[in-house]
Amino acid sequence: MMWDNPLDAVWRQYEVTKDCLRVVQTSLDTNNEMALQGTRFFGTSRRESTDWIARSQEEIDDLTVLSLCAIFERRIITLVQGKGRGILEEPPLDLSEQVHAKFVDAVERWRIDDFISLLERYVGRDLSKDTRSVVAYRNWVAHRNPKRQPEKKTEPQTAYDVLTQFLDRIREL
Amino acid sequence: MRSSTKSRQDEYLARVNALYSDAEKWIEGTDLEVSRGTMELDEEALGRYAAPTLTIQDAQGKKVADLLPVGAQIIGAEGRVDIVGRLDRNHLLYLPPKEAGVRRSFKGMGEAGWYWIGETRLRRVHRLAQELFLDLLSEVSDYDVG
Repeated sequence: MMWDNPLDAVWRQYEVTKDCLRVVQTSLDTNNEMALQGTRFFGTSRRESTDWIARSQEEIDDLTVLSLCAIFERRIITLVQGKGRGILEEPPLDLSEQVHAKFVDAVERWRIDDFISLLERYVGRDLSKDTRSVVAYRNWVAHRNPKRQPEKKTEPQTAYDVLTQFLDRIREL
Repeated sequence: MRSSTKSRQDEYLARVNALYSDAEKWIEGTDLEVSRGTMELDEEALGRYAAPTLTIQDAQGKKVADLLPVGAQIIGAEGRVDIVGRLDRNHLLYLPPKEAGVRRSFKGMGEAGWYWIGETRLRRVHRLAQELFLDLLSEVSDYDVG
């Protein structure tokens, strides 16, 4: 059965945006000024335009990693919160409801590393390590903390592949 | 250097010099002064060449703004000069005649010359004249041109 990967929507949008940038670059390369009228490219030099496109590409790469991680994190939070539903069946029910609500709130505040540690036994150590690396880059993109610079850039394709594998391995839990 | 390249450089430089001559006339009667300089441009198809700059100063010799050439290879135009002050930068574009090619869809276009485009998405251009030039000068520099 086909698996409905929640990361696919972001990935499609990323590919469309990349194609848009490619079309603009082609318009520049072929002097298709008609296509560029009414855009910010009008009145720019070729060097400026090419530089803008390169910077936009870098930016959408980073924002895509951020977006993939956000969806990944939400999917895991929902999974773990769902595991607490058993609490609701314990009498007395009014107390169970309050305990369950507290549990759901608490899980919402867990750090992403906590979820990865919790699920490491189901996904394997290597994938767990790769996922932490993607998340570390996501943190860099989100906060730009100079004291926590990543060793290397995570490409969107890597983020998509790693996070997809992780979600695939826990989808039967 | 190929003659067509040299000819495009010369054509652009002549247009820039004409713009500076106009600018010098436009600030006559104000307390501003101008001085000319040069800078090097490096364009993909036209190579490296020297182009004139124009600096506008107040009566105390303090810089108000620079007119800096950007190049002849500009998307939708045949040349660009930026007016650069301490607050902002505006693009001045040399547009060919209204009849020439795809550019005719811009409102406000007439004969060939230097134009300012405030917001490209509105597809409206404004022919550069004294009042507009002094307004742009004030806008980029916050200098009250009397």
